[in-house]
Amino acid sequence: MVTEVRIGSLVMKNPVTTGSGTFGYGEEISEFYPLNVLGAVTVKGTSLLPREGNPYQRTCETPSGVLNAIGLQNPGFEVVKDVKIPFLQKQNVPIIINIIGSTVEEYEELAERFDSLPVDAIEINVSCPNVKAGCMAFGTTVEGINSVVTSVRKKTKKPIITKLSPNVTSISEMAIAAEKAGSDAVSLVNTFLGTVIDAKKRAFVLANKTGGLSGPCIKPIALRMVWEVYKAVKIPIIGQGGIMTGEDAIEFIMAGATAVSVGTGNLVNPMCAYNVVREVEEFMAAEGIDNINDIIGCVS
Amino acid sequence: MKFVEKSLIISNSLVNEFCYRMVISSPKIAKAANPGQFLEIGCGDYNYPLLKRPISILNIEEDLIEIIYYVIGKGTNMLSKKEPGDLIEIVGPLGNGYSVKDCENHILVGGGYGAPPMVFLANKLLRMNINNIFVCLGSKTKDMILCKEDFLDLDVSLCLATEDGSVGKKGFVTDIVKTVLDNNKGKTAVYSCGPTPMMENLYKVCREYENVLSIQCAMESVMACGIGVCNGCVIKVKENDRVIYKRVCTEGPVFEGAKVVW
Repeated sequence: MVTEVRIGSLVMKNPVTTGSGTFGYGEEISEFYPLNVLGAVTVKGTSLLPREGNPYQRTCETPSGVLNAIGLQNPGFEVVKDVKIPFLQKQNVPIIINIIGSTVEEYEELAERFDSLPVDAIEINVSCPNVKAGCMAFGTTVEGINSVVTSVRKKTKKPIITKLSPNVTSISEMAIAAEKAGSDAVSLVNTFLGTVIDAKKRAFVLANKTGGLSGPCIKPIALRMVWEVYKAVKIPIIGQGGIMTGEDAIEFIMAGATAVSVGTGNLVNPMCAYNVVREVEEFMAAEGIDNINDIIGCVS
Repeated sequence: MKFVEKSLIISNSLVNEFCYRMVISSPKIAKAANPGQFLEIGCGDYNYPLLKRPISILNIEEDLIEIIYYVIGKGTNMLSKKEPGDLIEIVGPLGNGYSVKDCENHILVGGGYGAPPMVFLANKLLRMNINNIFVCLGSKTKDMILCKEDFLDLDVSLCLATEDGSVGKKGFVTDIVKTVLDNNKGKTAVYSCGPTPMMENLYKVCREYENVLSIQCAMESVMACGIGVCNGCVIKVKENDRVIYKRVCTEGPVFEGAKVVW
């Protein structure tokens, strides 16, 4: 049975990676299972300088979902280089670094710095909805995506994955912009902008007022978006949005994803991504699928 | 080591108007857990409610974990409907528990629903042959005092306070802690769990006593993952003259009161 997939020059032994921001830098989950079970680990969004994130309250459960406004809290490039990447290297698993910037220059600088480090791919986060500057501001226009991806492309030969926001009129247009600017792949979707109100307090629940919605509640929309993008671009897609089981992952692959990310599932059960890997293989065996690549986009 | 364990419910019964007491067989987690650590307990059956609920540990005996939980929302309400023989998914043990200090006196303070971890801690201290254990429990009324019976069998000094005076001293739990401190002058460690305003008040009372070397507080916070990956449950903590966010689920839930930005 062949489960290996390729995202540009990144080879994943199975199609399962993790959603940035739901897996830290792998340290916590490595207490539950060896990370090299996964096809790749996608780490927390990393900025040049440390970011303290948004005020509390940062998360809120919703029906079959989670609303979050963490605000990209991360230790910054230097700590990631000196502590987090050496840790991940020892786990013997491909590393996808997720980069965030408030300006095009910050993305460019991060791409240049990570280009010389042992990471296997760079995911450009132009889709976080919870910060004032940068990120989703770039990811919701063709011009914004074009400028960030073009700049990053100039600074690195590593595979670039552009992570797209669903908070747009046409996600296909955004994917086409990323492809034209030199992105090797696109990952979708990031979270949907939403909010929750506490009626008794007559107030927003999150300190940031709005947050990003994720989890099983967004899966049908994410799946539809993956299918739309599959029809629009030639580059591989990493599909995500509420994947909790192997069958969920298979649905994304059938819609057109080459690989998938488990995100909110990690918050629900630390073993979730591990279980998805196993269940994808079980599904393939049960359905007589010899090569996972044979079913990519098979519903189209 | 942390585990995800399918666990068998042995019993699940009402304690008072709001709380249930549950015994679960969870051998791996039971062996690894320490007082002050917590569990993430799956309350639903499929994707609703999605997230597990963080719940403290009342006590552990061999493979069995005992908890008390407050039925506050849909998740804990569903948990209260579970029956002996049902399986639930538990992640644990999580976070950092209490660190036992080399002191003469140990004061364990449980405010309201913060009482359960003090039973586990008192049992641990007694197993370590530590004496001079004072347990101070406080709540609004007599009915809301939890775990009183659990302490009656233990060799500890138990003091109670209620806001309406229906049992013990009329007033706040901090009032009885003050009395214990006034009457016991040796080196003292304070361990607490309860609502944040109560712990803030407790910290401010205790820090006035020079013989109190440590005031540990188990902090509360809305959590998503409980394992440290989402960075949701942060509180402000002082570190090297700076104020930074720390995760209650990972660096906590137990923090030194002196470090917390109240």
